[in-house]
Amino acid sequence: MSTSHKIFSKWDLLLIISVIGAVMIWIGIKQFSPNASEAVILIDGKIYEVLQLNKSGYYKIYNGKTYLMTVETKDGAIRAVYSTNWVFPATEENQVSVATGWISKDGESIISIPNKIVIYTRGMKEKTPYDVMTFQN
Amino acid sequence: MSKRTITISIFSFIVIAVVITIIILKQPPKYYTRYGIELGTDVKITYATDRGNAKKVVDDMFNKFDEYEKIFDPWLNGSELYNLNHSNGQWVKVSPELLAVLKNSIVLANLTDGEFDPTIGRLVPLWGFNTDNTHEWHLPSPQSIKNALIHVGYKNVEIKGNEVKLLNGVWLDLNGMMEGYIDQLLINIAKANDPNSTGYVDVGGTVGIIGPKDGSQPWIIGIQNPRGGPNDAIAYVKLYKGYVGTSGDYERYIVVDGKRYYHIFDPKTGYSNNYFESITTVSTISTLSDGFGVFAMVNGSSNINEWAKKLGISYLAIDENGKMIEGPGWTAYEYKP
Repeated sequence: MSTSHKIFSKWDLLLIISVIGAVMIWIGIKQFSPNASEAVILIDGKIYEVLQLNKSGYYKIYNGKTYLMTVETKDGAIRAVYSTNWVFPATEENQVSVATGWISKDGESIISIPNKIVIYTRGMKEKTPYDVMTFQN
Repeated sequence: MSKRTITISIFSFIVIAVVITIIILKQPPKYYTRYGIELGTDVKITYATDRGNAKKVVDDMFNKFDEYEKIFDPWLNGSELYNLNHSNGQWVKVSPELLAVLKNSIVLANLTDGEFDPTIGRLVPLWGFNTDNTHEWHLPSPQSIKNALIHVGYKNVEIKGNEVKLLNGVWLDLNGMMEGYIDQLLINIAKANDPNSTGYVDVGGTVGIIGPKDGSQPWIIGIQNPRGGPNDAIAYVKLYKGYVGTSGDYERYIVVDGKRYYHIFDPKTGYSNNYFESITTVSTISTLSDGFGVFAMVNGSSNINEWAKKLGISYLAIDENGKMIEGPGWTAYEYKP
């Protein structure tokens, strides 16, 4: 049988391998590349802002014109530095969100019940050993 | 286009399609997670399904909270429970949801001879624990507690069909079982959409499992350190199904003269007891995951193993010195990362 009757020549095979290889690399990049580290801020269940955690800074959170909270981002982490609420003036002991401190792992969150704020991180290098936390009700 | 080019194209397409299909099939279920603040507490639902849109199902679940608030919030003027508490001893027709939690509460009250008691409603505002305003939390006078205790007692609740009558001016507070029950209602919604769906529902720290993680793995649930922060776990539970809930002394409390007083009251004294910092319970019955913890915070450790065995509950308690106490069967649920 002459080589002209082969289904694939060596150049054809090279082309096939190249195409398949390129597609596989693209799939691999899409599947396994980590997301950027970021913090998602929700007010009343709706996304208010997504902050990149590779930038340092202070950010104020408002609901309309009402000031609710200030957060700080630094070194891939986020914390609440001050929280107020609509009902009464904030004091140190009632700022659970501030007492939570820095969060830097996927699975951690900062909650302010009076302000209906939830802050959680995603795309972090580390994850908490748990999926969800049980706490007193 | 030559025949050979077509053959090459088809061959490449088939190989790529097969590889992509294998990758997709090997992928664990894509979980959709939504956070929120509902019923004055934080809620997290994680859900995956092959049937329909997971986000829509979770949104439907969240939409139910308005309805639940109008049933169960005892301090919301006009809610079903508020109206029942202010019904002046008349028969009141109640919803199936309220009736279910009330009936379960009365069963546990009977079993525990009133150490779990849903009629402690009048004690709660006396301490100010019905509000998030910490400035309102205070130690009431002994006389005011004595006066309120006159209106406490589960035997003052009468149930006839779907009607309830509260005697002697008692007020119900169903928080001791409400969150577990709402977990169950939400899981029912998830399962109605897809019996094979997976995920979990977390209502105020009471977690109910919809289905195992990725279809076959346990969900890992951290137990909050009662003297640590909200993200600080002291131990872990692994769960494929069922419910886990925690009762504790560390969120609604005051310290007066070095003594800690918190929101779970002994129905016989009107004060909280300091046996445990927290107790975490695992149960296949949604209402017991919370209810047993409330009972145990009041009762202490004297005979809770007996009760745990009787009710098919496993628990991990942390006593007033921070020592962990494992209940019967706990090792089956214990997870060590």
